[in-house]
Amino acid sequence: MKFILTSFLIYMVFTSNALAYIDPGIGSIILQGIIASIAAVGVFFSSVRRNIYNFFCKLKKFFSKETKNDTDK
Amino acid sequence: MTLINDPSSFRDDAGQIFNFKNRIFRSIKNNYIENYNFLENQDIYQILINKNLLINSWEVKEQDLISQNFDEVNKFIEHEKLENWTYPYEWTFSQLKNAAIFHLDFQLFLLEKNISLKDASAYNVQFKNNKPIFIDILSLQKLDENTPWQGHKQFCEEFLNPLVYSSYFNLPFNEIYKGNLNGISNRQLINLLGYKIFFSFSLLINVYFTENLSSKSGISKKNRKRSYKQSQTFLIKNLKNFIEKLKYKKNKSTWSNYSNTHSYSKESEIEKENILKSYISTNKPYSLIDIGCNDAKYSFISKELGVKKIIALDYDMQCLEKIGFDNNEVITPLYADLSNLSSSIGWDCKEKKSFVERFNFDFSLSFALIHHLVISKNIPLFEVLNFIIKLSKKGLVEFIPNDDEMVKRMKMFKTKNYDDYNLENFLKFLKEKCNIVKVHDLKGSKRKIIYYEKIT
Repeated sequence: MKFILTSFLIYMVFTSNALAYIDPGIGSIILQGIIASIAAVGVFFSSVRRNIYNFFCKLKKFFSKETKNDTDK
Repeated sequence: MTLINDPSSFRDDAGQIFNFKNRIFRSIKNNYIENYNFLENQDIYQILINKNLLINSWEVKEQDLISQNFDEVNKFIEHEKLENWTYPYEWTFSQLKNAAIFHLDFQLFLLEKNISLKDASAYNVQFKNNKPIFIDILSLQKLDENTPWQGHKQFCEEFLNPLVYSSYFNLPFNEIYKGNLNGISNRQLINLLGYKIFFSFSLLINVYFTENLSSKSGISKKNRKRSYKQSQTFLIKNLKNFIEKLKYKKNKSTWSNYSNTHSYSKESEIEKENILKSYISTNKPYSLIDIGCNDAKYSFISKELGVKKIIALDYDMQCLEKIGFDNNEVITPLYADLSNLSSSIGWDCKEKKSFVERFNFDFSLSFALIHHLVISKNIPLFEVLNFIIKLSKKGLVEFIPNDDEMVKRMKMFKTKNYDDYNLENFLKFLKEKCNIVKVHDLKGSKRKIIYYEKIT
């Protein structure tokens, strides 16, 4: 548990200052920072996956065009 | 002509609530005007009012109000005056749960329109016709995606934790809530739940991690811009799913089956209903208080006879939970122990008004109640009657004699002599304070139903 907590605390340095008339609680801010980071990592990997997918789609289209041109000839 | 500052409105420096000519006004200060204009230009207030999500409010132009010299005040808004003003520590489990889900839905709706709430106080939700409604327009602000959800911790302490406490331990949250007006702290809940907290992902992240991360960390001055909208939406949806599953378990309590187990006959019961019907039909009260309501049987009879506003008080949560308020706009169940009714508490002993200050009724019902206060709580008979008369000028009170089975049972192990608890004294005290006192016998029982009317 200590390891998990320490890992979480590393994120603390990346948290933004929250200004409010109530105390939002530093724990709540860190938690939301962690969730935002996880979401960002998720978005990053999904965009990588989408780029790879798009690349193969383009490659497939390119080769299918080439084959079509060959048969036309 | 003076504006009277509401003693509960001082925390947020964006404005204040005032009472003026028995109307409710809210000042809007210069530091909030940018947000106000942004929301007004987008017609957000009107959209929310039309959807019955926000209390009806309108800008006022009255010269005698505007001419009042207030520092920093830019505008005055008038709010609709609600009939019932209640606090979370008086709500039933279902009322707090409804308010919590309403608050989360309200935030999701606002987030879609790039608006957020700067706090998450349970006191910002009231009930209008038993439906939750948001009352603090100054809580709304333009969403800053780089700022985390500021009300997360407050939401947990004022909504989530009391609901979890009641649901996990099957105990009313009200006494703890009234002791600490900010609800139940995360630390309190962690200590109460022990290992159980690790079996719920929602409690683990919203309560356990939030609390432990706060206590083990310092404050970072480094700034990194990132969008928190997704994390806020994730937490709100997670909390909503979790709260929707929370239930107050149906158990047998001392009073939950009283309607079937009471010590008087069917004949007496019918007679009692008939007396009630005749007085309600004659007096036609607009508002009524049913003290010690149990399953609110007599409140429902009164509602059928046209009473428009009924507050049903009891301190047995099992009984109160039986009173459905979802499809009923008239009867509002509230958790209250008459021997410790909500008093004036909070900052300067004024912040939260007492029950007596907030309500007055046209008619009161105190059936099978007085003997509990006199014998179980040892409150002198005249004090009890005085208090009931204070709540309403007219009403019906039931007198249960010393030789009744219930009274005998209550006195069984007590050494105190309750000689002054008798019909003679009962009527003597009532006649001292009231102009009309009528006694009705209940057929098949020694119990009496007494009608009182105080003319001032």
